[in-house]
Amino acid sequence: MIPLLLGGEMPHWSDTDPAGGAALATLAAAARGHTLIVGPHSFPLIDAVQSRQVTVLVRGVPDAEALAARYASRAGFEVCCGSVAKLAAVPAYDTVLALDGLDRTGTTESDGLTWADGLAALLAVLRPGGQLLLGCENPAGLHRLLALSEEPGSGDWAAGDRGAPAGLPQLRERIVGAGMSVLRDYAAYPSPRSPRLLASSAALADRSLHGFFSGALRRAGTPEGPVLADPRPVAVQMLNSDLAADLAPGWFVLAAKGGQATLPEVVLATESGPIHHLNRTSQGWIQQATNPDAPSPVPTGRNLLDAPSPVPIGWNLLDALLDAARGRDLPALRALLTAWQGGELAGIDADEIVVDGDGRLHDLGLGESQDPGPALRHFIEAAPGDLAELIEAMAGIEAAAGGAAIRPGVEAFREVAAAHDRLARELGEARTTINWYEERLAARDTELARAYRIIALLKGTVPGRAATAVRGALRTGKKAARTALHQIRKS
Amino acid sequence: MHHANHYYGHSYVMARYCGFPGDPPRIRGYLQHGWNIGDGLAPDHEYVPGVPSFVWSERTRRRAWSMGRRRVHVTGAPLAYLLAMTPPSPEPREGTIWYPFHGWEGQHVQGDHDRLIADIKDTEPGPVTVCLYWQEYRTASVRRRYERAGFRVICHGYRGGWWKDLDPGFLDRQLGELLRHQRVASNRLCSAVLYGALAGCEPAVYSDPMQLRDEKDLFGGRQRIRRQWAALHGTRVDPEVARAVAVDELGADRLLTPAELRALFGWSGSRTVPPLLEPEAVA
Repeated sequence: MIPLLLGGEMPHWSDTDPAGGAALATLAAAARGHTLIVGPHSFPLIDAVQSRQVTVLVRGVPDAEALAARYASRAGFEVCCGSVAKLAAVPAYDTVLALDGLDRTGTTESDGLTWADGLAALLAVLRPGGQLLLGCENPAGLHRLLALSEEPGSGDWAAGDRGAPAGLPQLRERIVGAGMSVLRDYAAYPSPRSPRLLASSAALADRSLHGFFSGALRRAGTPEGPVLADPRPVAVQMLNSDLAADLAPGWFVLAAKGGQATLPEVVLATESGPIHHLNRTSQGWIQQATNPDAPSPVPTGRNLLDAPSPVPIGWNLLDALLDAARGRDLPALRALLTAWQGGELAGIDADEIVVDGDGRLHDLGLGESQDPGPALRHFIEAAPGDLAELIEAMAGIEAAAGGAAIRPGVEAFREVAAAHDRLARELGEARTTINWYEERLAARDTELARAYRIIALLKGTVPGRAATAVRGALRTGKKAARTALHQIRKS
Repeated sequence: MHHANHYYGHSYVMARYCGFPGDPPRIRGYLQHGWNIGDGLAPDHEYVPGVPSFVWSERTRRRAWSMGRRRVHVTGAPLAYLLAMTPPSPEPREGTIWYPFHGWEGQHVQGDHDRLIADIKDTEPGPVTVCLYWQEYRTASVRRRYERAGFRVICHGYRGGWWKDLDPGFLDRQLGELLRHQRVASNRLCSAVLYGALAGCEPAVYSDPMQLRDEKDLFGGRQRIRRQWAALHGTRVDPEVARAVAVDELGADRLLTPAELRALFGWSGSRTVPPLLEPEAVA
């Protein structure tokens, strides 16, 4: 297969870090009919597109050649190379998939391709009734807010497009303004190109799901590389502040002229493998776990996920435990720890458990079960450090060996700074303690010296001398008696 | 700094524009000296990190950036500055100036000059001036072949070597010839065709493009040039389109002021003009 050069292609260029991951594969699997994939997408993501006719457009010639080699034997597969602006404006596709967004669809040869230009180019090739699956990085997303300062990369040959959507509402408006309906929108964590969690803004706004999302956001992991702070607790705080959709690293939309979305409202790709889909029904939120390698639901080893099941409603146990620990509410902490470590879920991490209104614990099924020790250790590491031994005593078990090396868990300067502050505080406390001991020691020395002086003075008085003489006579008599006794025994 | 900055008298043109009438001060960086579809540097000039590049067009800057080049500035082509400094000529234009594709120093072109001559005769309506590169011009057999065809044969001169045999008037002569002609043509899209289009000639690119011995097609090569700038190929080309392309590729809409150029080239502090040093003098 020889890539079709549309124009504006970049002979030397290859895009790194393409859109990918199991969560996005759920979206890719929704493609139907003749499908156009625009921008860099990983091979597994392209594999997830089941359409018989697939056209992929990339801008770098090496990428196009790699695609052509990889899919040489796949019938109905075509590779194009060039700028998205060079796409013939002919409605030829039933699905357009641009999960990497529009930022990497222009080339050095095209002058000032804006986000709006890119969207127009994609919509122009959609057939009536066609669907668009589009990704969009949030320029003010959590990943950017917590990123270290970086020099512009070789892909940043142009200034950022100020006309690109600055928020999820704007993204929806732009799609609707182009005559499409947004059937589904998603906030994506922890990265815009390879998210593990996709959640609709409606689902994120539903407080009854906060127990689930608190765990899911933590389980979604962290972006690669150094960051200013561990994004997981920040994401949970954003969830509680109703900012999780606004400050998500990226957004995805499913748009069409009409119809209804068939995609789930929430997609979570867990580290252990299963993909969780959440949907709203008349009975409430239902979750279903599937294995990405098998199309039908499969057992995960945790019975509650073998079949669709209600999503537990309540408070995330880790949040409840941390609240109790930080507030030094020891009765509440004891009750939670006893319920957790004394029950069947002792080997489940606290952020994978929801506490309902009656205090019952429910497994979210987000990870593998393990020994209680590591699970307790994970909580202890998140809790105030001075409570570690107390927590173990309350739980009635010893936490697994851990240590400072696990903390902060990601290369996070905020946590490093916190560790620095903690060590400085502990050093200060140790110095204060030493000073206090030295002061006590000095005081004792003073008291002792005073006592010696009193004794010396007392020895100089008449009664003192008499007492000394009596003591001397007694010592002499005692000695004489011992000698006499010794002589008698010898004789 | 770089010997190629003096090719075709480029550094002299820029110095004149910046108010230095004599020899140019040293340009602190590398000045693009020919149109290309890569990063603006010539294939035999390695990029040196930290050394600024002064390229002709915004497109070239974007390409250079994407290739990891930094400190890349768009200045525009020296010919665009020269044209801006040149008053309009009252003389009528006539005929075609034709630039057969040529090799550069040490390179050899393989192609059929007779076929090229026949194509030129079939196409060009008026008198033809053939401008040969100095190598071909000095090769009597090649030069005479064009002369026998009835063409006026000229050479703009030697572009200059490693700080030796520099020709401050090269570009002036080339622009002077372009302004005399109605058309500019070549068998490959090249700097001269773009120069001509900017100078008001009707451009054309046709006939056998010939090729260099062991020629390597970098950045997509000839095929890409034909596809990306298809509008400039053919015996008749829309002059408005051609002019827009020339403006774009030569950065004629991005020319800097003398003060800005002086700042970029490191000439701001140049009160007196240092003489160009021959390598022997340096040694």
